Amino acid sequence: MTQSAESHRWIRPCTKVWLVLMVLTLVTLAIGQRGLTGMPVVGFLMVMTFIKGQMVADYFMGLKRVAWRWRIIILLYMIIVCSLISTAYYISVG
Amino acid sequence: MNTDNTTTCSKSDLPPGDLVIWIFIYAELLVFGVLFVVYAFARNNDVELFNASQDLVNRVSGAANTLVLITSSYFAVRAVAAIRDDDAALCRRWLLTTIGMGGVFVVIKLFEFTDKFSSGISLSTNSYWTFFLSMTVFHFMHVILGMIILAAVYLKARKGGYSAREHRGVETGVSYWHMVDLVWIILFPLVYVIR
Repeated sequence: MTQSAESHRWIRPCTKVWLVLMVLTLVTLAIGQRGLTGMPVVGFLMVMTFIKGQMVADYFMGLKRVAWRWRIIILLYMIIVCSLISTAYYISVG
Repeated sequence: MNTDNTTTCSKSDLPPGDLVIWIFIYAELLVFGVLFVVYAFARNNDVELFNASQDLVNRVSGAANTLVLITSSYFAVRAVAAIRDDDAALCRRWLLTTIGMGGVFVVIKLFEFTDKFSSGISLSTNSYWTFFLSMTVFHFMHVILGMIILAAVYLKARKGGYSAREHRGVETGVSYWHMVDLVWIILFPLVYVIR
């Protein structure tokens, strides 16, 4: 495969990821504008944030095609940060 | 070192760009991560105050800035793809549009900061605003630094400094820019939306 074809193969999923990220951001804004609250909403928003972060890391940063030890750092980071934020909000509700 | 990490079918041992930038990226993420978690737990001391203060933020400008940064990150991906195809002119154009989107972020954020400061809000107004202004200004400084790095990459690209064989500098600058985007992706829902 030529390098150009390789690049196109790499760009196509990144374009899809870009569109998904835009849609998820608009969903986040809609939730904020409607003033939705409660633990299910917090959980939903943090799951969306986790997915968005992983998409940026895997596709934009290119970690999907790099050795697992580099990828897992950001994966663990997103899991820990999103979980701790969710826990803090869970405590405030409880 | 193989700088063509993501165009080969097998997985590369190292991430794109210079290894040092990745140590820097992980260190920066750690700092922001601590700030995010401290904010979330500090909020529990006065939930009503945080919710009331959060009502005053401009969510639309926060979301607009998220869309701007995500789009700039996508443009940065296109810049890397272009140089891997040995199209330096196209790479330079994508780099310029990425920097331009960074400029849009800066302008929106400056309007937002001006609006808050002119309405009497400052770091010492209350705990929410201390966190909001500290974290967003800290991130804002990273956007500025990212734009400076990308401008340096652009200037080197203009001198013909990058090619399909050697483009580690482009990948390094772009990786930092993605980190700035990644941080904002967490910051936006945290301080603008979640309550």
